[in-house]
Amino acid sequence: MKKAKPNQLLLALIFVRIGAVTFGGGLAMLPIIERELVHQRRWFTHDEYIDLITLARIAPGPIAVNLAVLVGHRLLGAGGAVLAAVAVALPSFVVIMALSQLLTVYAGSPVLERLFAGLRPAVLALVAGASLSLARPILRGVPALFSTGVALVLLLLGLHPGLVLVLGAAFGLVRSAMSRRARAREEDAR
Amino acid sequence: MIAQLFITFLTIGLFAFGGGYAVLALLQTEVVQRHGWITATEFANLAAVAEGTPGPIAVNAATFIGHKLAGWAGALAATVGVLLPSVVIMLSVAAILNRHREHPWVAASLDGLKPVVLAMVVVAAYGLVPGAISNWFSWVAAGLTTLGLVRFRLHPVLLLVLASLAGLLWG
Repeated sequence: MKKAKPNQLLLALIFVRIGAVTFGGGLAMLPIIERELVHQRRWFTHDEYIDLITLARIAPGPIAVNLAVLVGHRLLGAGGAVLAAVAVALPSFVVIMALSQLLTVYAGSPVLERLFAGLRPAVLALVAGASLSLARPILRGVPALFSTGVALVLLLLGLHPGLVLVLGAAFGLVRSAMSRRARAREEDAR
Repeated sequence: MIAQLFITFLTIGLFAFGGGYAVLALLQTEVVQRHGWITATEFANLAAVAEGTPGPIAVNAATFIGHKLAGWAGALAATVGVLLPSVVIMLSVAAILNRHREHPWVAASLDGLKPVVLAMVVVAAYGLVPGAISNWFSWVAAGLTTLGLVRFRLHPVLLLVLASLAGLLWG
């Protein structure tokens, strides 16, 4: 496939498409993005793409939006970043606005009520299932069990999740500093 | 109201670590507990809408709640609010973060975030219970969806479609 030069319209179209086909978690869209940006357009090498994804995942914010900003910025500067961010959010905005209007019009209808009566327990199950699959890689060793337990208690006590996240990052820093010092001492002893 | 929506979703965007499910815990803290803008049942409805429609959960939720509380202007304020931290952080910090990605401090703080993200997803599930579980049907639906997800690895959107059909028939 020939390499089209990036321009505003193309960038916007690509990220509108990515926003429109991404459901729920950001991870499902990664293969789609890779195909668009690496294989079809060849705007990025595979290594560059992996770098972008890693960065988009470790920063706060939805992965799709972070990635849009990064890609837009790389290709077309700050204006491209804003354009791509708006483009990736556009399908969400349009679909949810239409749905909200509909839900307002049909509020209280028994059909809708039954539909949501089915959806509510299902989404609960999806979130519970997500916590199970997250637990497997994270809950390894005593420190991880300890900090997950503490985080759980703090959150249930009503502490703001943002604050608990900050505490978690601080705990990670302290723990790595301590283990580095212990290792240095061990080497001194030898 | 518009300003409050904007600030609230700015906070949510700023702390949206660990993907859409962890964001539900943030949403619940801000929208249900702190501001009392929606009830537990409405929150469970919102979670289903945000998960069952395309786009990031945080963006969907922002548009939905913004529209519900203050119409078009509210939807716009909340959506821009939730996007803004991503844009600012990725433009300003990305270069620095990228250079120091291998730095032990970055890795260590990310390691520290993971257990919190897990705890946030657990709390999000726990917080959905009062709005989602009300009768024997909801127990069965939750159980079968879990089975479909964990045992048969069905796609979440397919499970939501099946659950809404079940709701129409027996809910």
